[in-house]
Amino acid sequence: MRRWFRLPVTDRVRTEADVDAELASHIEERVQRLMAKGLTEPEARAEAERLLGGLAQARYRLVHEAWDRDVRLSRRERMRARLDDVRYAVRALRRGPMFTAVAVGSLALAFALVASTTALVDAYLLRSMPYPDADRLYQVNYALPGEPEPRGMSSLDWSALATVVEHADDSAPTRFYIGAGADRQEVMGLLAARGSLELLDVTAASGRSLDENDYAAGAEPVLLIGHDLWRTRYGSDPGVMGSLFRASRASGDGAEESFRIVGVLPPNFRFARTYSRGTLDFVVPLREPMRAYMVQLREGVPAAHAQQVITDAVRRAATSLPPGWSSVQLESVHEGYIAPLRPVLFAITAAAVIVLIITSINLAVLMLLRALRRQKESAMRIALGAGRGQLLRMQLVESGLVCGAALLIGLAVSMTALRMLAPVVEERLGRDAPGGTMAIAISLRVLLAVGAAGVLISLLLSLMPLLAPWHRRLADTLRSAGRSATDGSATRRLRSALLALQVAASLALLVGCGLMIRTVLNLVGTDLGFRTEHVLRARIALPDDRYVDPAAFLRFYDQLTERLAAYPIPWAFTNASPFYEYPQLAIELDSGDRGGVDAGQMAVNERYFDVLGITLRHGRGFTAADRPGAEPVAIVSETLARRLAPDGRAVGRRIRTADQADVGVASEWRTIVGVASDVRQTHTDTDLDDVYIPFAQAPARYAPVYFTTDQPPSVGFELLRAEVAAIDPLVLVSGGATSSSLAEQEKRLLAGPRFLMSLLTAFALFAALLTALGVYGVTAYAVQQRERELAIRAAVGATRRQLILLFVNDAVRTLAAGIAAGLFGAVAAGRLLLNQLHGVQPLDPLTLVSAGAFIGIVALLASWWPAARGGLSRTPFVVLNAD
Amino acid sequence: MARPSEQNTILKGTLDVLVLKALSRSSMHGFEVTAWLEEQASSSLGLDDSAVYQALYRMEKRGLLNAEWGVTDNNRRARYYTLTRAGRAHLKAETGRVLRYADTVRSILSPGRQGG
Repeated sequence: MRRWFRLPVTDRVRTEADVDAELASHIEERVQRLMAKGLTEPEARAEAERLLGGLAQARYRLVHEAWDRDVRLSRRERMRARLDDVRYAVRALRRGPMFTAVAVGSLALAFALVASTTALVDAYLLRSMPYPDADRLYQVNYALPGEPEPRGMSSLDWSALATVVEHADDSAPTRFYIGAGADRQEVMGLLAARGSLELLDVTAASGRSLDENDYAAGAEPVLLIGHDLWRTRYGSDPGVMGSLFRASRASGDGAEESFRIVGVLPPNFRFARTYSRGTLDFVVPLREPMRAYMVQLREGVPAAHAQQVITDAVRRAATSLPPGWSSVQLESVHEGYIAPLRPVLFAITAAAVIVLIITSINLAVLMLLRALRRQKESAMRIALGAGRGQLLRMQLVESGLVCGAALLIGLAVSMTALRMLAPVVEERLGRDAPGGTMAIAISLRVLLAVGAAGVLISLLLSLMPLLAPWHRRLADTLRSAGRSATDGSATRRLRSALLALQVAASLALLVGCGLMIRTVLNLVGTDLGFRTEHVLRARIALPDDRYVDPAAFLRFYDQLTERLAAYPIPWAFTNASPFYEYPQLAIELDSGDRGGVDAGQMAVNERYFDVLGITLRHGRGFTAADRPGAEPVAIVSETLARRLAPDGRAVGRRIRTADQADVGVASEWRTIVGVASDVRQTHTDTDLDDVYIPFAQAPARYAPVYFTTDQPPSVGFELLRAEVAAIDPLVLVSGGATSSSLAEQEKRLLAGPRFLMSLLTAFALFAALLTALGVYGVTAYAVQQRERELAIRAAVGATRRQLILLFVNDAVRTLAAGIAAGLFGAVAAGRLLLNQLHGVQPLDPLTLVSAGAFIGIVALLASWWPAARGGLSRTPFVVLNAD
Repeated sequence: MARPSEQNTILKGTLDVLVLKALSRSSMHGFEVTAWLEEQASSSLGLDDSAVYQALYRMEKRGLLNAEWGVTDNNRRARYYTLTRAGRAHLKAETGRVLRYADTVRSILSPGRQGG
């Protein structure tokens, strides 16, 4: 063992022996001197010991001092040895600058990718929401989405469930209208239940938070204002404290209420249950108890158990349970927020890890080649006495340096990139990181994970050169002709296996990338059937108290239409939100035939088709004459028309719609007067059956308004606001921000898939490049190594093409193995991306074939190039005469 | 008999400089250093021989000296000490410091100095 690791050995016995020897030597000299002066030997010896200060005492002190010295010296010796190793490794790396640059560069990039994606996973999936004990907060779903909830649960007593539920929160989000005229604004806030703000650990940034008195019956209504609203509406004026805030509730009688502002909420405060809706504009106390949709469980209580307990309680308390109701669902608030992101985050992390693996394999191949080249040098070193252990240690240092440098650079790049790109990433993913944008950073967890990966890779890489044949006798190695020794078949197989692995992993990435490219192309290429460029959207909201029935709505819209007619801008009123798939209604045809057809229905005015660029195929559009009292009419989409009237004569037929949930309640009969071209509500909408009814015959309280104008958008919005305010200053018009452009909204919808596509493309191209590098390196080495053989073959008549084919065929074999293995990876990639795909199957043949062809061509080129350039340029004569 | 613990630290530091001075001329083994010190100081320094060795070991630990086993003129095994570059630098710096200190002390303690 000592021969393998030549460290200076510190040994107490040796130290003592050394001291004894030195003391003995000193005493002998002294005795000789004293005897020369005339003392006898015993006298001289005694005097010598006396001058020392007593032999035993001297020895004791000196051994202590000498031991200290020896320990320190041996430590210094070890450090010097280590530094020598490092110095040697640096020199070796310097001698091959190309290798070092490629190794450190590619590995650094791979580490940066892994660190960044791990940071994202950490920020979104591992970090809890910014509330104390956030992992105990659960959303209570009393029924499955879309299903009715149990009724009459006012007797549900949460205090009876106190063993399981620590706090039940019945806070509810709500909306207010504030301001008047052009200033009219809708704000989003929270009716906070008692204890809710304490539960979420909210402390007011200014003023005070809510306290017990605010919840007492008859107490003055108070309000906490949101930080952003305070800034935009009041200019962050601290004097706003104590003043009155006038608002009317969006749902309810709409009467105006006054609240006294007592505090400012902290910036970026979001309510746990509605985290995705953004920051709150206000908080007011909740006076009447409502249904609790969020609970905090007691510490240590498993969610499943709590769910059971709550379900039992609901069952006991409810006066009526819907048919088929089975239980309450508890969903962690954190889970509910990040669940949609999980597949995407896993996909990109998996991709980054694959890139890291490919990079490491690439490096391993390069290091193997390098070791083969240096075999002679290693053999000589062994002959001169270096142990295997020492060589292993030097390899460790070398690969450690490469990995260490790559780690540092990679982490630095990642940190900078994350800081700059975090807001962009949040936007593309569609959700902000719980804990804020700053949370997307390299945390300790990420450092440890990436660091551990680095150490592991460093260890594995340092083992690589040892896999070069050791069993060969030194004499053989030293004797062999040529610069580098021949490598055994085992090494060659190892190289091929590594390259095949690289090809396989690259193929998996390329398939994933290809699938996403096709998905995005499908999405982007989807013809929505309506125009989004230059189409702007505002929204009108009529307050409850002053507009109580459709007749009142219509009076407003009639006035508005009259006033707006003075302008050259076309205005389209409708009751349907954009990019939203609305519930289906059953269609009944006048022939009595129910036919199982259902469609979505929207009310639109006569300019709607014009503004949105929807063509009318048959019949007519709506006119001003289509009003209440006139014949009820409808327009249907092409597909629906074909379904209802295969003979093509839909115009003139009559249809009736019925809400599927309330069977038996059907609308009136309407005559079809026109057929419009098909429209998709979103890129993935497959239902092309639509029914349009005249807006005047079904005006809405909340109406999106579309318009196009070649003036700057703000002109249109101001115009609309001014005209609306002239009629009724308490009607709200929202819109005007960038999100009010349909084109912007469409872009945002596509941002997620586009993001994933660009990431995967970048990863896949990088992987393909590395694979090409690996194949190139191996082929170049083989060419150089087989120079003499090639020369001989050329001399006996082989053509250049045949020689090149020698190497290309080798590559083809490796490639085939790699692609075969890669198909498994490709299947896995497809499975992982399943939820993100649109219009393409996970095992899409076109994508598989293209990806295989791409990596195949790249690898073949990479093997052809060095074969064509390499040793084949020298004439056989020159080569054979070389040594 | 004076024990090293009774000797003050100033003397320990000074001893180091003296030993370095001894070795500045040539490599010596432990006894030669002791003998040289005895010759140079006409009155005894009041030190045990072992103190010299302690100084040698200390300075070897600090890297001011290198030591190697060798053979004396009498064919005996002995440990020879040599100054390192650091040792030489330390000798130069410390010599100046110790001499300045000695001058200061002498000028304070000399008769004819006012005050006191």
